[in-house]
Amino acid sequence: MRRSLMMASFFLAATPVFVLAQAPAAPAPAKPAAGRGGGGGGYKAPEGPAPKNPWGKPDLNGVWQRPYVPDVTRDGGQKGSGPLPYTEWGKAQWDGYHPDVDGDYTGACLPFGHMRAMGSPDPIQFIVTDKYMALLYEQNSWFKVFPIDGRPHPDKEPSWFGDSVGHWDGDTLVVDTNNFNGLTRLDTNGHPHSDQLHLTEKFTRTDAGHIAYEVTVDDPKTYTKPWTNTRVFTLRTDWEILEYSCEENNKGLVEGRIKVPKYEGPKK
Amino acid sequence: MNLRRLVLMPCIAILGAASLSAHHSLAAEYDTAKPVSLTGTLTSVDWRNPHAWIYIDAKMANGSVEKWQCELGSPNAMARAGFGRKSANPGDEIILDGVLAKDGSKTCSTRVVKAKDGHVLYSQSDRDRQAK
Repeated sequence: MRRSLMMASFFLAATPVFVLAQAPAAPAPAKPAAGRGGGGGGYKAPEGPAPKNPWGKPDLNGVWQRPYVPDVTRDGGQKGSGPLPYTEWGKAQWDGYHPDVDGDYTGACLPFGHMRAMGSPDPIQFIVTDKYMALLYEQNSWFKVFPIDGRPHPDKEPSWFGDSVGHWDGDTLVVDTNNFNGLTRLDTNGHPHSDQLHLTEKFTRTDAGHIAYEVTVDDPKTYTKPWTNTRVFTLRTDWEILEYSCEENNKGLVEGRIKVPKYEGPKK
Repeated sequence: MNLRRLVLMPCIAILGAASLSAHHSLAAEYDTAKPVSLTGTLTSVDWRNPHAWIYIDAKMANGSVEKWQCELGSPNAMARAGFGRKSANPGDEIILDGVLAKDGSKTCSTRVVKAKDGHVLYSQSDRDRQAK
């Protein structure tokens, strides 16, 4: 039912509209966006070859616009996975997800987790040195910093965004992330994962204006085999990352339209 | 719910209602099968994250005025799409197209904000169309 509701949102053109006042005139074409950062109003990404850092690797620094991915299975701004190869446990997690009844952790502004945050419509800034990469997610003003010098995973407690380490494979930065707490979902639609989730992300700066991004999901508790999404990120030289406080005005939760999610805490 | 009359509008351009609410599922809070169109006087805009809210004294078909609140996108995303703090002001006559809250309150999730003459001030799909 939830999935059909989400799908229905894309096909409202022929549905009845409950008009509480007079029917409005036919909408005029949207004016060119001219606000902060320029929006869709004629921005053109830089052209030319991919620039390199002084240490000889492709420069991934910048503010990047990403496609919003509310559903990892679908194409649209990305190449989706198609139908997911659930294990019995994974299928039960998917079938048992009812945010309208049980709430969803993000409705209470709890951390999205890395994969869901990478599918956010808000931009992200990458700060990359020869040894570290920092992800500055505008979504909820989160951040993540990890080494990219090829060192192995350390021994840490599980976390919402997992533990990441990176290395260069030629001109592609490969980021390996594991040690998730298992309390998040992979997208807005709620596709599941477990604490066995292992993400492999590949960042390739294909030209001056774009990064080819690939993420592979390997979670043997939830899926019978790995699956992949591929996306393109666009460099926004006209944008800066802005502050985002999820808690400040979360009226849906405060006024009771969003259910308070059950929070079970990390597994012992 | 005071639903005054039912009108078929074959060409409402509403794209991806799910995309409005990246920080949680839209369908958990709103009924995407119940679009709504409100016309009235803007009283205030609450320009705060996670999502801005717009408040309107809506003129109803029977001549009464009702106070409605409608959720917008994140202020950051709307500003990038060209709809900022000064794009609509208290006292402006506006039209809000959106979908109704499931709880029956006078609450909606806004897809499109239009001036009285139908000129689009903000459309959620503006952001969705941004450069690939």
